[in-house]
Amino acid sequence: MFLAPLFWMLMASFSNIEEINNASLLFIPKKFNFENYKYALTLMPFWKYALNTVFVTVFCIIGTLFSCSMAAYAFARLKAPGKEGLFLLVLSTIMLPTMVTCVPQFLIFKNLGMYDTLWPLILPAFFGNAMYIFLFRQFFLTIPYELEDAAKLDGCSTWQIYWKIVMPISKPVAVSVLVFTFVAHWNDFMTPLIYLNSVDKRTLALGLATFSDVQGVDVVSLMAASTVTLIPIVIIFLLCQKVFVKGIVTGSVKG
Amino acid sequence: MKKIYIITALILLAMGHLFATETITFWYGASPEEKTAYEKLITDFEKENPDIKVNAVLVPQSYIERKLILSIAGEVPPDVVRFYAHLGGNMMSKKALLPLDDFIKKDTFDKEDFYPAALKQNQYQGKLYGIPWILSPNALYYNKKLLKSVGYTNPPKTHKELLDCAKKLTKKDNKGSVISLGYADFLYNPNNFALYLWQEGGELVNPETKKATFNSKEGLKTLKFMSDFIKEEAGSTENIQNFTSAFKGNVNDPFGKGVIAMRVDSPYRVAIYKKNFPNLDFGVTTIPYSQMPASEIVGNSLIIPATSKHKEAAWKFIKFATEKEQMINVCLAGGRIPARKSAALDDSFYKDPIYKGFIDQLDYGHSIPIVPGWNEANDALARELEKYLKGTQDAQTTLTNGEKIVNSIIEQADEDMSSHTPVNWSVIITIFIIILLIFLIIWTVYTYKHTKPGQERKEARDFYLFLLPWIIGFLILTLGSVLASLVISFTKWDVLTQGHFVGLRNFTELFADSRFIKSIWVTFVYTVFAVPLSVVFGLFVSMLLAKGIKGIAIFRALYYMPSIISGVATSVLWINIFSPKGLLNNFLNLHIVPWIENGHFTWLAMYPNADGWLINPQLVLPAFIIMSVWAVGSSMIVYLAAIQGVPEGIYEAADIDGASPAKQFFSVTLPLISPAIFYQLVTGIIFSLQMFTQAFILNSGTGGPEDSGLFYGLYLYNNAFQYLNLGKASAMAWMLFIVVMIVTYINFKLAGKWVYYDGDKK
Repeated sequence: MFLAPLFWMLMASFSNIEEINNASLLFIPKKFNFENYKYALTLMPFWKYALNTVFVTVFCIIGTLFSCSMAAYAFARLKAPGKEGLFLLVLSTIMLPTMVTCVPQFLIFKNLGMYDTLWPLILPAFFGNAMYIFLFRQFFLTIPYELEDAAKLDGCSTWQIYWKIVMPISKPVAVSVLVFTFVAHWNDFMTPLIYLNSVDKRTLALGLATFSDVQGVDVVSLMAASTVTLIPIVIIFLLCQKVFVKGIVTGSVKG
Repeated sequence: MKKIYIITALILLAMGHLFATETITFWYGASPEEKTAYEKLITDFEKENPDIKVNAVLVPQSYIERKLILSIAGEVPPDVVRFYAHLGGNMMSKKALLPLDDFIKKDTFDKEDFYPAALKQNQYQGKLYGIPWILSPNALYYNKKLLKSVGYTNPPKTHKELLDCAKKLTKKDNKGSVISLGYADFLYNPNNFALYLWQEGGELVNPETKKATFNSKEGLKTLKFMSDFIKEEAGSTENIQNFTSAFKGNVNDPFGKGVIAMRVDSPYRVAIYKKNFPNLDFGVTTIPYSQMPASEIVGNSLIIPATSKHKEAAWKFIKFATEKEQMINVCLAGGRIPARKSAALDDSFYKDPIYKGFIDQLDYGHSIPIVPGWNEANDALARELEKYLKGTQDAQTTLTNGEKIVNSIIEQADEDMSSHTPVNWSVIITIFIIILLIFLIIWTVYTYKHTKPGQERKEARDFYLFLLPWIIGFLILTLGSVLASLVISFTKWDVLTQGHFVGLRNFTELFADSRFIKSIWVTFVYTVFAVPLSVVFGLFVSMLLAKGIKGIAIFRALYYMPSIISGVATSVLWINIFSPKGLLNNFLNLHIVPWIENGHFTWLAMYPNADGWLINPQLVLPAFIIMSVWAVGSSMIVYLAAIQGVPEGIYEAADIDGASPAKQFFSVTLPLISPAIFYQLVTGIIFSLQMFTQAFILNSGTGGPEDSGLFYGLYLYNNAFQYLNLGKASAMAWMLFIVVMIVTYINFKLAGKWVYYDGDKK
């Protein structure tokens, strides 16, 4: 079940069109056909789009990690009047569907002169995302106070405590956010579709959507192109998931 | 000497003029094959008009409308767009497109060479808003071999022959389910109804009076024809749908595979069949009829947005692109029919028997109504037709109800708003900024007063410094759009024209709307089942995957895959799983059904095991719930991170105390990761209340059978971008917003009882 779509996608990307016609969900092509990949890479300026996508994604990850963990640290540890109200405000921003805010938001970015630039794709990441603020906060709340109290006695500033003590032990949650952000921005095609006009500024997901949409393109090359765009996600995931390995658990954690 | 100066000056002037180029932006959607033809068109145009440059932008076809609406609202419109003419009803009525009549008169553009039906699609109240370019008329595709096998060497010409031929070609298996079908064009989609109505001489809507005209004796005859045909051919619409739902996508086309013998469709399928089914021997001919021939024409026109800054140059491009020769090139590349008679009747098209089949239909072409609000009226009419074809509503009621709904939707979309107060955004924004500044000052003073100088004030300062990025983003991006949508919810606004205040009307109308109520129910049921199931299942999987065993990385990646693979591959999977003879039904029939027959869990026998899950209204929601559980990957990541945070020492201590693994799980792991579970619960509820993507993909943007998959988010989306009722969509969004706030608040209140924070100072 979990493997099937991936398997189908991979096999389809190597097969020829007649084979796929009468095949069931789990099929293996008779002859592995690499032509699809060659063709898929010519469908769009692949490397150009890949570069744009990497550029956007990297900045989004940096922005998200900083802005969200900082806000979450403030909510989890620092005291200020009106904090609860503000936190509810943060959460409430998850709840308004993007379909409604997308029109006003488009007008705002357009009036800031950012239409047809990569800024509308990158900038929001630096302003924090309520979901990840919440996620970080949940994690920070489980950290014992003792660590920070000791640092405070040593005269560390709030920034130092956040950066040198809290962040290093928050690696698992930071990695989760990293993976989420990576996937979200790597695959997002709606935002680029709305804000980008110039063909050379496009991202992979948008390039792919442009072709998956027309009737003329065949499934096999589409699957080949999709597979290529998927590879970085899988690599990032495999690299990151190591952080989740629970050291020397005695084998007693069973469901 | 002077002469030389003058000549030089003149030359310079001329050169200056030569280099003063104007750039127009052209949006189009095209396949890789067509792209070359477009590129040639543009270079040829630029060669002929050296003062105009064309910036051609390839836009995904199905999103071109939305992108166009936003760019018009944002005053950054393209100059020429290849656009579906029939989608233009709203845009034409809102004057978002430029009427081209003046250009036509000035240039003595030979309008007469175009097919009248195609021109009609681009007309609204006497003005022409687009030049027809590429046409896709419908015609009958027929499988020559299959038809010959039942004695039809020529394709059927009348309804009677069609039925006879279809009956002979329809086969059922011993359980009564259809395994091959003669003719299948009887969907609830009003387009099918329209076709047979036109063949009777009827019409859906009168474009002059903007009133529905299908509640007539032609309408009755049409409905009767459809239901009689279905009954005689296949027994019921469900039989047809169960059969056809197993085929989706171009490679899996039932006509291509030879299990449907005849179908009505447009020329775009020709290339697909030739490419994917090289052995298929098919012909294309006039759609059989009893009274008069008719066919729906879908056309791509070239339009100019009313706010384009290069109208003259844009017109020059349109004029060039719609010349006979250019039209032939572009249409040949895409396998479509040119909108000019002289081009369509050219040897390169009319000599080809397949093209000829389509071109012969053009003289009898019709178009879906070009009236404001048709998108919404279309969906509402579909629901009525569905009731009739499923036998739950008689023909006259269907027509009467349909007429009432269609009329009221058109009326609303066409309402004269001049008696209402227009929305003045600059005033609203000014007021908003003043209030905001006052509020910020009060907030600062409040903070200052409620903190003691020294440590406490410093901490408050740090708090705001840490929060600064979020606050800036919130003030600039979020707050602005959130409040704007609040204002919009009290207005009637279509994005394209100025909005008008209508008070609470959006809200009262919504509560009178049965589809709205249905969408609440669907979303509620889904949330109640899907959220707990995915929370528990996600936790279970994560516990299994938390251990540092070799090779576990692969398993983690596997479970995460569903969260990142999107689009075609996933929909292939689900169609394979949920179709009538799909994996799920096979499994159930093989393992569960015999088991029930042996007397276990007999109540499960209610499960209708022959239906496709996405066809049977009762199975649609369960199918969505199954899908939600499948996509546990992202929750797994959160759980894994939390499990990682549980200190080793606690387990060691528990081991020494001799606690069993189960006991350790419930009294150590569970409490310690409860913040993560809480997070999943809160966000899970929020997301399932907003659920949209899967609902949109699996039912192709509609609510599915009997609206059983009409999620709140989907209906909201349809209101916003299909029907252009931004006011209603915002009203829906705000109601959802308030509900989610309340649920989340309750969640937080309850959290104190079970969520354990280690950092808590007790």
